[in-house]
Amino acid sequence: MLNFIEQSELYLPVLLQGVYLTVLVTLGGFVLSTVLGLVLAFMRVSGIRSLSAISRVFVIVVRGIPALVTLFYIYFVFPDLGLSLSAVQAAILGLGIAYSPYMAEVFRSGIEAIDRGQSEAALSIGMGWGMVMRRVILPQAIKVALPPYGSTMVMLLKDSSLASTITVADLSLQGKLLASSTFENTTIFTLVALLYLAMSLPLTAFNGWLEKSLRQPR
Amino acid sequence: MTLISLSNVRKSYGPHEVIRDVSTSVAKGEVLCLIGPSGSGKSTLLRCINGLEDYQGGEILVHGARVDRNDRNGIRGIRTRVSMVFQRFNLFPHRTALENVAEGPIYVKGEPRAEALERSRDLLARVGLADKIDAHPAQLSGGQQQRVAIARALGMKPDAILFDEPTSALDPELVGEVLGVMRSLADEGMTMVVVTHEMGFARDVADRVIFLDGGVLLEDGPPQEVLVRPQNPRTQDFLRRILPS
Repeated sequence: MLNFIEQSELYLPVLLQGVYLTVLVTLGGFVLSTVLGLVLAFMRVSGIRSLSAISRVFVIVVRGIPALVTLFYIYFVFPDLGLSLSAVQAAILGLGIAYSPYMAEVFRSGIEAIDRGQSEAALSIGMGWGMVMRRVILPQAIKVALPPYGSTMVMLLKDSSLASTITVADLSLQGKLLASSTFENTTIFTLVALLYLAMSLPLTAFNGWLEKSLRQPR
Repeated sequence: MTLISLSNVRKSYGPHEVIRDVSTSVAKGEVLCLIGPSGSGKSTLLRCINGLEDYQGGEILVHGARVDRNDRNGIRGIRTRVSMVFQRFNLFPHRTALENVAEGPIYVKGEPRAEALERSRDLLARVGLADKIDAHPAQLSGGQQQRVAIARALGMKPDAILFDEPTSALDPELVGEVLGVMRSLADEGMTMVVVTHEMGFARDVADRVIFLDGGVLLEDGPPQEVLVRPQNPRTQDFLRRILPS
């Protein structure tokens, strides 16, 4: 145990460099997948058949392809099509796209969980579709969607390690490189695991806090 | 003066016709009650008037304007003039009673906030809920929720209010307080179209009663005639079953 602590002091600075990139890729992926997911969910419930169909097909196709392959595609195939991205940019774009179907389904299930009577009441006082969504449906849907949204965020954090496969020197890649040069597998991978866990805890806490602060008085 | 007119209205779900060639009208200040067995199409007909349902044939006019769900601005205009009270209240659970009433005036009609809130307070006082303005719907009884819903409908300063079985979801002891508010509205000359199973209310308050069965309008007349001396055997049968002898 003493040995572990001594070694940790040695290896942590290197691993923390990887933490920075993991956080960067994860946050970028959150923002992009959340925005894309919202757009897809709105298209799906818009009542406009063509938009709804596009959203449905996008979700099926992207969800059916491993995030790893999506990353490879963006990093290795897009340059052939004339779009060269840095490894970090490709990782953010790839994770954002790969996670957008899950986000879309989280938001859609939240929206569809709200009783039809709510939109009917809103329509009956003369609201248009946009205002019904903004003032009546979304404030209620967000409470339904938060718990699954929180789980998806934690999943995305962990899957950000896929970025290591396209040369992003994130926490998992730093750990692997360090381990293969020092052979201190136990210490290093334990540290890597603990660091991922440490990053997921604030996410979980933030989500719990949001859920609590949005809870209605009963 | 005719406020709402229905001529030869037809509606079907696929091959199943739920409204068959219904024609009637509602004059300003009139209280019209729609009665009939469940599945007779009375709620559906009511929901066609503010375009919550579409209809396939005939014409519904409000103030001379055709009710058409595809005419987005037109239908929104009609809905701001014809309010609705629902069976299950449909209050916005994330807003207080006061915010529920002020929502339409502020966000749909663009009324100045302070003015709308002041007016909404008065409306809640009028339905006997002056002390509940800051309560959320979940903290209110069914009867109180429905009275907030009536205040919300009144907040739009409507020309008419549609009531879709407003007391059917209430515990029996709470029905009276809602009917009381509706009675006072009728006394003040509000135009009302009420789908109801409350025959006492229909008899005492309605100017006219319509009996619908299987989507067909079978009776249309003053309550004394429709409820006391119905002509159609189906109406006689219906009333015999629901009225205590």
